[in-house]
Amino acid sequence: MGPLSNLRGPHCSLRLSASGISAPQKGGEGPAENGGKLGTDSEDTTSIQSATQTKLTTLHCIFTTMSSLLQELHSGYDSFFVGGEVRETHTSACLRETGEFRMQLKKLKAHLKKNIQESKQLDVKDTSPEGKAAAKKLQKRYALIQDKIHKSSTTWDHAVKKHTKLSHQNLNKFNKSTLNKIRKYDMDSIYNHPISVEYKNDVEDAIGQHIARYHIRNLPMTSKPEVEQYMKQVFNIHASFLDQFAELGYILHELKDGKYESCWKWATETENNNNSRCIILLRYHLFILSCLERAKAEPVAAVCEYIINHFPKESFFQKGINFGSEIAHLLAELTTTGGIANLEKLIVVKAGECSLLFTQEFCLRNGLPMGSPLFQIVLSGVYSSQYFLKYAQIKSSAHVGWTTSNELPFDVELPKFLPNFHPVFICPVLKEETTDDNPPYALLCHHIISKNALTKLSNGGTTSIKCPYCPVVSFSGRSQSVRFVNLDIPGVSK
Amino acid sequence: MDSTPSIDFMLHLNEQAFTIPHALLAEAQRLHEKSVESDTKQLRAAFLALNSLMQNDQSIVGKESALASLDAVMQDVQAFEKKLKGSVAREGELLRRIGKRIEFYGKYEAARESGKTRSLTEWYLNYTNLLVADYLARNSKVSTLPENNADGGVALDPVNAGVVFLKQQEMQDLLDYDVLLAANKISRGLIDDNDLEPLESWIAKNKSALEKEGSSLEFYASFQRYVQALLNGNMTLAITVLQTTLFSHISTHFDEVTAACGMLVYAEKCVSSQDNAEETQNHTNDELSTPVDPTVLQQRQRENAFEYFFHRRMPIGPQYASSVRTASKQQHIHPTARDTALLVSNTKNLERYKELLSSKGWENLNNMFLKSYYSMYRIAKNEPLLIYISLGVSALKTRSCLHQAIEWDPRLDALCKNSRSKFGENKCPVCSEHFRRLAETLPFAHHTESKLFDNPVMLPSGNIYDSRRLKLLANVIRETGIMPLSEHEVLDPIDGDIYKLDDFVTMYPT
Repeated sequence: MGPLSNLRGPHCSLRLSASGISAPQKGGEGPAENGGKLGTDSEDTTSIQSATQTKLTTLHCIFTTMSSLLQELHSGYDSFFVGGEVRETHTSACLRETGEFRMQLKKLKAHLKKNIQESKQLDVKDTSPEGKAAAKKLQKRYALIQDKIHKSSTTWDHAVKKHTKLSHQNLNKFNKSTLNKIRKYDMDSIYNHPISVEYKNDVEDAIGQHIARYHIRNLPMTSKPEVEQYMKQVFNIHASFLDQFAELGYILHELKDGKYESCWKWATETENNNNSRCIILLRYHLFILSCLERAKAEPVAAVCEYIINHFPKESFFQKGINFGSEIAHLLAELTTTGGIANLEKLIVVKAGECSLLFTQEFCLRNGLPMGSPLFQIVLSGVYSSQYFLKYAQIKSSAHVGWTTSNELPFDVELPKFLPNFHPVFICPVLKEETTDDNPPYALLCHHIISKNALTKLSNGGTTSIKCPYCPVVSFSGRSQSVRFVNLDIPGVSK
Repeated sequence: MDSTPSIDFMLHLNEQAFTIPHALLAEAQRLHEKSVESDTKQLRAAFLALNSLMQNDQSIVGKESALASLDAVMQDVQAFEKKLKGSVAREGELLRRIGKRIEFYGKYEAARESGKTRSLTEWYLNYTNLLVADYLARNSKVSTLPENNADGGVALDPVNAGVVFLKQQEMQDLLDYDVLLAANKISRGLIDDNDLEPLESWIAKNKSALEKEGSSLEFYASFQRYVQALLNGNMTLAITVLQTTLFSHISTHFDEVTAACGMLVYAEKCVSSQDNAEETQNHTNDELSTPVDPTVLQQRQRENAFEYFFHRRMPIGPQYASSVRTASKQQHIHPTARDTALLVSNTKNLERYKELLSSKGWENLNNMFLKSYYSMYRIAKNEPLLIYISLGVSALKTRSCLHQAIEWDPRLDALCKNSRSKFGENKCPVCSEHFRRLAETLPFAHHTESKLFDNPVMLPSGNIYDSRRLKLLANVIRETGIMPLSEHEVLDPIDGDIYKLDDFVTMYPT
């Protein structure tokens, strides 16, 4: 056993929290809290930069309470751009100056050409004062051209050098003042249990299943054979992975383009089986989407008539629909303004809402997990990385170790919205998780302890025991082995 | 706010999202500076020459030659402008990446602040997709097949499954896939095709950076080139590499250079003995069940090597003779066919050379390259997806995971609309088909508190359920009519017995 051996055992554990670290402490002694309960699912560079800029400015306005690090990144990014109305980088300024310089040279070249032509036309033997004056004038202009070429080339040269230098300085500044603050962790340092190459196929199958679950909607084709062939060729995904997600993917693909018909068909076909709140909500939002789609092509009167005649009445009193206020607003806007503002954007938003509701209902009905196993594991991985990194810090600074190789040294708090897939019972006496060999036992008072605890407290079953939580006396022989069971009912959400 | 990672933590965790574009910007800046320096120097000289020509010769001939010079200079300026356009486009692309990433993490902060589970899970789903794209970009085969762009154009850039996935997810600005693809291409060249050229050209481009960090990659690439020449029987090339490249590293890699010299003598024998060894191994598998004392074997190998070089038997010292006698007595070894076979297969002490000549050399070189490459961009050497899988599985793995599934009453399968699924199917990701095997090798999560359900009630069978859900199941059974159940009865979904609501025993798990 290593230096931490006295801290662990059934009674102790390292307590790491997302915000701070506390020294190794005794495990929780009070009554354990029950677990919580997954939600749904070379063009013109200047124009690219300005578009990104506009989006960023909007974003900047939205997040009034931006994190200091994100804010520093934002201002570091801003410092790459100079100028007032036309924001450009120093390299773009170099290009602009060079372009302007080339135009200037073009003009001077025209002047030079004109000067040569006029010189040729000038009679060399003309010694009259006018002739001499004209020759002198041409000479003067030539000198002026020469001077302008010289001066503009020098100015351009200086400008290019200046901008290049400033660009270099900007990069260094971004690195020193911004990026240095971000550099903190070495991810490889917490990869203590590497996944062996022998499981490469398993990992790739899990990726295949994840892609089949979420990616069909983004493919450039919709027909099943085409999707199957594409998935096999590009992602090496076997057709069997696509089976259970094919219908989900096709309907989501259609919804993405604002086509609601297939989803509507699905939602009405299953009406007799389950008139759940989720399906009523889905039908209500699909109806709004259909109205918005009609508003694109049909006259206002026809859309209004459609709304009035086909409004899904069963959704009127549903919680969250607010007596069809959205439909009412739509109808009011159509009749008063003769159209709907930001129609395309509204369609995208509504299609997104429908996609989420549809996915939720589809998964529930077909017994599919709300998120792919890969997603749930990665999500847990990101949440737990905080604890692993802090533990690595403690380990290196305090030179402590952990000798129990088959269990993590700290309790990881996972997201509340991730369900407990298995019930976990920690024996209040021995502070260890019950297993098949050491199952939970119910005492006469209906308090529960582990088999090992029961054996220890009753001296191997020879004496009666007082419940550690209440005054009731129990007997080993009259205690009952129990099993905690999570009950999932198909088609019923938790 | 609970354990949701803070935005600062996520930025620290994903520093490469900003450090890689910065490194690429710095690389582009260096090229830009180099071009500015050489081109402006040339143009400055041209303008000076033009200036003196215009100053000194104002005749028509002089003016015409000045015009011709101006024309030539203008063409140079135009060429320089074209180069600048390239630099601006590259810079714009890299800055756009930074901008999009700030936007991406800004969305995370907004989702976190809003406390909406849906926004947060959507963001994490995108993040998972990014990790999947990273894994595929690093590991999938790279091709340069034309790929249709969204704008209808045809791209001839290298692509693989990761890049296609990323583009279809419209997240191409969130991952520096070009950097990963470049590494993947060189790496596959080494492992799949034993092609050193891409690596050598990368080393040539990054020579100063490699020297700065004291990397031996250049030496090992040359060493592998030498080994390859030896295996191909190209002795001229091997000797050239040895003389021109390897010898220059003798002060830092003395052992390797001496081994290289040794290989020049033994390479052929190593290859043939490797084949013999495999053959002999097949023939004498049964006889080799008893191991031979390694000291005896080592001495015999030495004797054989001595005989090979000096064409005479090695003189045996008294100390060794007694040790051989003792060992032989202890192990009752007699010179049998087994010994002879071993001696044939180990005629010389060639083990080290065999290892250097084996395919392991390519793997080691590849690992060394990836280490240097990723550390140059400060990218995690291991795929982040695998790191998160390792952490995530451990964080989720309970003592109940990977056990045999609960056997539910088969009559309840009728409640599942989908014919493929069964009642109460375990949805735990750790127990899922693709993770259960790898999960076996990973540690369990540590829990200090029970994580159970609300309203626990025990049925006489000893099974404890959430009473609300037990009643809900009874309602569903009554509605569907799959079995008769009266108003005050519930079904134990495991043993299939029917109990009255009065049989419920409220439990107090702590």
